[in-house]
Amino acid sequence: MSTDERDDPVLEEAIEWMARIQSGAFDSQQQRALELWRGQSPRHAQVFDQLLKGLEAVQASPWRGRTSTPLLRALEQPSSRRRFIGNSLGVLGVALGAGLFGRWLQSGMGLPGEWATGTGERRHWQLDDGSRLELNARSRVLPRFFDQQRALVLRKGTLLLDIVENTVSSFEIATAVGVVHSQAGRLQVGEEGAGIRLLTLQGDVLLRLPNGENVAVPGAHSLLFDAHGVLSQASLQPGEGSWASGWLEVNDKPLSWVAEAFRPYLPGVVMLDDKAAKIRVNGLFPLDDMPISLEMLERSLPVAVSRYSDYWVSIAAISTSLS
Amino acid sequence: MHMDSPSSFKNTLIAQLFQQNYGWLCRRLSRHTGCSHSAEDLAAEAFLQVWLLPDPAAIRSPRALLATIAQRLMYETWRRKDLERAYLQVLAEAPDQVHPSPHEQWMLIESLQAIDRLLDGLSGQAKTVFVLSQLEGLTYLQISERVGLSQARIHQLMKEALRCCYRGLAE
Repeated sequence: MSTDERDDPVLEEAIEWMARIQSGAFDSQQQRALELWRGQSPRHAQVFDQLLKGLEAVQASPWRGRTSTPLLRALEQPSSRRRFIGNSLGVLGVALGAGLFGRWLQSGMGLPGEWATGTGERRHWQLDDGSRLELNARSRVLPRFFDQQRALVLRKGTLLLDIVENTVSSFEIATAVGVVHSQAGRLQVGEEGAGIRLLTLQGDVLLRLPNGENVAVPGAHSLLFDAHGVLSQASLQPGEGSWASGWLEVNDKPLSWVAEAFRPYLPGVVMLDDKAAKIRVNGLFPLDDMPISLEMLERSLPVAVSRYSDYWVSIAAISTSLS
Repeated sequence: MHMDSPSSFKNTLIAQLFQQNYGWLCRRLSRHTGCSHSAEDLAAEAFLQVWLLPDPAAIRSPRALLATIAQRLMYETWRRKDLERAYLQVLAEAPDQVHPSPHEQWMLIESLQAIDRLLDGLSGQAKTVFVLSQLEGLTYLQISERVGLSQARIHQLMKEALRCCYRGLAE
């Protein structure tokens, strides 16, 4: 049973209490009165706590403690009234569509000055400082070269970077979940699941996480991290970072990983069932010929690849009991 | 023909939808976005949203549904772009100040979008009051001096903002 919130007296009272707490003039007497109110029923406590939890999330914002002028200016931007479409993609996991919804939204429709590649397209750029950037298909970066700063913001996909040594500044590659600093060398930074995969193909780097933690990563390492920390770290395996050659070299990876690597080369949507996602894969696949690569998967693994149209590919495990 | 499993029936159904409407949706969207890559991304995302519906077989007019979903997605990305642009402009107008690093900027824009979404539908005054209270940590007295409204009015605006937050959380 649900009641309309405007007619919900408990919620209205909780809001009144919360507004008083935030005033800056809340004394110990009021505090005791609030505790009495909150103790009236489990629902009183629950509504109040939910409100509190919401505010805690707001107060954890990186805007906290900064001047809010830019924030308020941006919020003033007029917009049509709309409701956010619910993010239910999280439960899907196996659908490799346009990506995780939140992430896809982050990269959005691109900003002026952004460098981007389309489906099935790899491109390279010679940067002002002499470094060389290669972007995998369906990737976007925002170059940031001001004064002494040399930086790239990875907004989507995967990049490979050959960094030329520079006495003035290190090179920064910013992602949603951490910043990589390098003096010189060759490295790959790319999305993997909800985290970022960093490969130090040559030279060492310093990884700075949002919580302030610094991680020194030696050369020839492969590291997976998210905003909370390093998820896994190992020495570089043969074939990692091979996409730049146009061939995906796979050594004992789950099919879900392979499908994600194919994904930027296929328009539309790729569906993978749970069982198929876990099958281990070895092989060398031509990224620029997806029909062949999909056929190779079907021939070498217990899976059925169905292409319902050019834009809807479904990969399903074949039940062994039927064979 | 053998019996298809429910999931393969669903795949066949959606694939059919895809075949019949993907090109149409991409063309329609690229007129709005002016970019074929973005249009493809949006279209694929819209189809995924349809795939997630509990009973896609019950869809009466797939084109209307796809257009509605895609439009909502488009508004989200436009809004994000507007916010990002406005923020970067404020930064550009204050060149002498120390700029946040690219990563900090990213986090700030992410959070900006979350706050914008949370406070969607509120008046500008209520948004300002909420931000000054929750992010700058000002008391109602300080806010009333800053914006020139009475403390009673600040209290009232704060309640509006809290009501809006609660609704946003309940969704």
